[in-house]
Amino acid sequence: MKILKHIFPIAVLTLTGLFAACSPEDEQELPTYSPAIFSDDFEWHTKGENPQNTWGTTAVKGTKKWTFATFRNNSYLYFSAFDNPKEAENDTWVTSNELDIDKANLKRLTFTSTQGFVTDTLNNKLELYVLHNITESNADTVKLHFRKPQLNVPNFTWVNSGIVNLSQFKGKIKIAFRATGSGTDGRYDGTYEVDNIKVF
Amino acid sequence: MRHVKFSLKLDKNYIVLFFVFMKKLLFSTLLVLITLTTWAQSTALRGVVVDAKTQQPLFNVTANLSNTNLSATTNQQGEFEIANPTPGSQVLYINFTGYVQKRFTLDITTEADIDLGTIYLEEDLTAEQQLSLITLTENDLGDDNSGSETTSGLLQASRDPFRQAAAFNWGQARFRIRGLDNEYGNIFINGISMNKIFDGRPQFSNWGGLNDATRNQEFINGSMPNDYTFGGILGIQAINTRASFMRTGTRVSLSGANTNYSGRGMITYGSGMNKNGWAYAASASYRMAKEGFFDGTDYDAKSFFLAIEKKINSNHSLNLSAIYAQNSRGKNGPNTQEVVDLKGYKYNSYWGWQDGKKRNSRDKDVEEPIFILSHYWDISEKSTLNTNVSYQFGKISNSRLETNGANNPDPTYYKNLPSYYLNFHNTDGSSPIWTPDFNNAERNRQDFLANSQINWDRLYLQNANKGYAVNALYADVMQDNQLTANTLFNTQISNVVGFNAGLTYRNLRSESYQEMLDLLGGGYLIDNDTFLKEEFSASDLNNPNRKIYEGDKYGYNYIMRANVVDLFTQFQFNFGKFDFYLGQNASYTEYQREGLYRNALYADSSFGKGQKLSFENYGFKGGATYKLTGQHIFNFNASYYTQAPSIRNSYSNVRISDATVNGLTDEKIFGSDINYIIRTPKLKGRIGAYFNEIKDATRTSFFYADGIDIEMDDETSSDFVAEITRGISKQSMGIELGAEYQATKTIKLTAAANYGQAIYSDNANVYLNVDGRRESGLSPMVNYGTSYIKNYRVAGTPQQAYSLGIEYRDPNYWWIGANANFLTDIYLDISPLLRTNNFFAEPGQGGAAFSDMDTDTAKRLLKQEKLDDIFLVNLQGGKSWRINGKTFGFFASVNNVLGLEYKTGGFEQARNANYRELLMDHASGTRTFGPKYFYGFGRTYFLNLYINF
Repeated sequence: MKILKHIFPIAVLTLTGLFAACSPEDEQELPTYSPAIFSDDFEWHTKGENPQNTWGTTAVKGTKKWTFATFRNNSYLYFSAFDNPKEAENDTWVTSNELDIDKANLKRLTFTSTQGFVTDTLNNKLELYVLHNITESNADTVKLHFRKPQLNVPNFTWVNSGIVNLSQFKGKIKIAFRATGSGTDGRYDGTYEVDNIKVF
Repeated sequence: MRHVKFSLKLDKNYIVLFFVFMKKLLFSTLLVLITLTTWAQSTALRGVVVDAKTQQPLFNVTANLSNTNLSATTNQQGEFEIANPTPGSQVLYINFTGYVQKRFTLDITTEADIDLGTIYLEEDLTAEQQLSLITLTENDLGDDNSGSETTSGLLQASRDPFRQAAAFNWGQARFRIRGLDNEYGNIFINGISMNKIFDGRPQFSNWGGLNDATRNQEFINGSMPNDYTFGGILGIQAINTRASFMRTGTRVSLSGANTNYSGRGMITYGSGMNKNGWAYAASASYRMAKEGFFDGTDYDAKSFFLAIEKKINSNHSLNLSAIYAQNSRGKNGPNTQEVVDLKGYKYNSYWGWQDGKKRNSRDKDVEEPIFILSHYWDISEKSTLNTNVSYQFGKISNSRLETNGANNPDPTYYKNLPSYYLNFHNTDGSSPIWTPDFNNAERNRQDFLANSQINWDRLYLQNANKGYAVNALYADVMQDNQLTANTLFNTQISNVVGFNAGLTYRNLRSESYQEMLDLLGGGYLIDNDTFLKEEFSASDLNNPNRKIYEGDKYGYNYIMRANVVDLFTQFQFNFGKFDFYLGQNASYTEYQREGLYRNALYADSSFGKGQKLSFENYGFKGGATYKLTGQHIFNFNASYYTQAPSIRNSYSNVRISDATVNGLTDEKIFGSDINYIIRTPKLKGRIGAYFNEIKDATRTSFFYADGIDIEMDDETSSDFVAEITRGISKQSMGIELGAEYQATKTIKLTAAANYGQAIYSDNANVYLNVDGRRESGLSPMVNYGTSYIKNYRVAGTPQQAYSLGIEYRDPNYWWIGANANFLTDIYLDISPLLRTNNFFAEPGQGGAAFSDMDTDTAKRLLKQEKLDDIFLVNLQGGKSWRINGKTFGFFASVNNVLGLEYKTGGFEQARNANYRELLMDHASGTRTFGPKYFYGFGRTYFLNLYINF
């Protein structure tokens, strides 16, 4: 009968021990969040600070390239076929630095864009590309769809690109925008602007 | 040190295999045992039980031999006889509701009969405590806008010291045994389940106020065996209202209190069984309060009870019990901390002055009479068959104000409060900037303090100006007709084997609708939802633009039909020192909705009969008891069953659509406990550990969502949305301790403790049903994916509770008692929507996290609030006198003697469901959409005077 005397305290101690050992609060998890692994709102340009990212620009046709511009304290990527020097044909690319898409949680891209005085989106177009399988001399390019700025709304109305799915890519990629136009043909001399680029 | 994880994974297949094996084993042993036990010589244990004071024989007293499952009840002359008692040293218990238990230690042989002669039972004065209990169970708190409800557990005054503490001392702090909601328990009246098919919960108001008539009760802990059902994991409470079981004579009582009601009168009469075999009993009570404990909560309840029993012959009896309880009360709502700080914890925003009277806009009216016809058949000395048929009908209605284009009449509407201006932000830039407007905040403060109740006059005036009702008072009505029939068979196959079986059929036809109660002086109301575009606004396309007058049904109207068939069997084996039992059940449940309106939003899925939903469920349970001696007992119980989702949790928006919850599944429930029971003459107690796991539970809640980002084109102002959380896993475990020590003949000490932990054991899934999306041709369902609620606490109960008490019983029929209680680990109910990935996603940014977020702040924002500890001191006492054959007495109690103010629970509001909004809501320190809290009663008293003759 001796054990009976101790059964109460033993049971209490064992069970208490089991509980005291774990506090559920320590094991709570936050919802998953998808921080941007690459973003640029070009505010550094407004403030006159160093660039957040290195944007490389090339002109395939003509000499005019994408630039950074500011309007009412907001900066963005800018290309206009209308600006001087006017050239017969423009085809220019702006390419981001390399980013590792595998670090992104959702593998999505969003940005905003506007158009000014664009009337023909065949010869005066804005395109989005992703460069992948990048080597020193070469890269594969994939053209992607996004919600384009509308033509029959006031000029320079920012439009959200919608979600651009980047899940087909692995490893290092670059984001590129391509604009075409003509400074000498009034039908194709519109302007494009791109801002708030985010990969997450 | 790493945390030790204590969890139990269920493998269904193993459990099924185990039970199949056990069943086979049992049937073979059964046959052997039956043959073995039939030769026993016949002896008997007898006695006569009488009331110590009146010397009158007591009818229906139970006498049971504790080491066996042998028991007997006394007849009209107070006599009982147990045939062939198991030989050995045994303890005989004599139990009768309202009387002090008697125990006898006996040496039983197979040689001679034992006659205990006359046994005197003394009335248990403390039983009067039970009368003060029901006030809590009836007052289930809930906010109509949220799924969060503070329902009480099964509060019961059993002899288990732990359960007593849970009911009397902790009940007021909304303690729930094992952290379980009362849908996991069963309440029976005369064998008929009182749990509603709609939500699985009992409606205590159905028999409220009839304390005398419902005092014959039996309680079963956890999944232990009982005669009525397979049962949930919380246990059962079985009320018996047979006319012949009622206390003979008349009892009149008058009570005063300051809880839900302020006064009560009750009269009860029991005839006892007359020579011709007739018995009848009747009871009536009235409870009222002009204003209960909380502001503007009026109360009016009339209850009637009638039972007639006819003993046809020695084997057959018939009993008819009728219960009619009508209950109407003004509700009080939960409040945010801001409102409580401004107006105090008794403040209630639901009422307003009208013609010099306080008029509550949220009345709950319950009126659902129950008729139960029972047939009791003693087939043989060892077998009984009890067959019951019950019919219940009537309605539950909850009133509420609505506006159609007028201002929100709620005085606590968020734009009326100071915090609305204190948390102002400039949101033009990429990050919001806090711009509090202190002047307007101060003006709101003064306005609110001056106009903190509903302004009925203004509502009437607005209606008068418009010529039609822009404000109206309506009710959500649920009108039920339920037929239940069951038959319960009980047989003692031998001294060793007992067998129970029960078959129950329930049929429900429930009509739900909105009813216009009061147009508040407005001429009529058009049956349209003004929040929606015109082509979607019709409540009923079959009757568009209908003018609604008082008494009309409108808004929504549908019939829900349900059929439930349930079969259970149970075997109990008794080997003296070692007992065990096994139970099984199988059930079939079927729901079908029939829409009576064709709602414009769901033109093709709202009208007519919808699909039939059906569920097949099963359950197994088993347990064993080992008696080391009669004084030291160990037992173990385990139960696993599946349960059909309730009607409430089966449909996404049942009022206007037949759409069911996505991926509707059965709930899987596992419960187990292990106990050590001590019963020495001085010390009675139990210590036990329990572990419960519930999987695949669903919870639906409804609320008005302001500014939830549901990817809609326009900023919807106010949308009535349903939040559906699926795949909820809940786990509760803990230790229960209850002990009672008879220090001297007159002094008794009691101690009780619950050290528990109830958590969500896994993440769940959330989606919203947003009717407004139909306007844009979208699916109403918006999937929010995983809700990270794993390891958050299940709210609604203190998870730790401790009680110490002392009781003095004077031999001269008076007693006094006091107890002190400490309750802690009380948590706020969390919003699952808040803990989805949506929390971090910047609206309109395709799922990208807020650029300015940091995880430490996020953790702080999502931390579950722990409410303050509760300390309660309660006092009770009573006395009774016997004068000229009549007993006079009183019982008095003061709860929360220290008058401490305490929160019993609350819930997070689901608005501001993202990081940025939530952070902005915290800017000033006074939250606009902060949690809403329920408060417990402050110091309350209960006084009951009675006379028995």
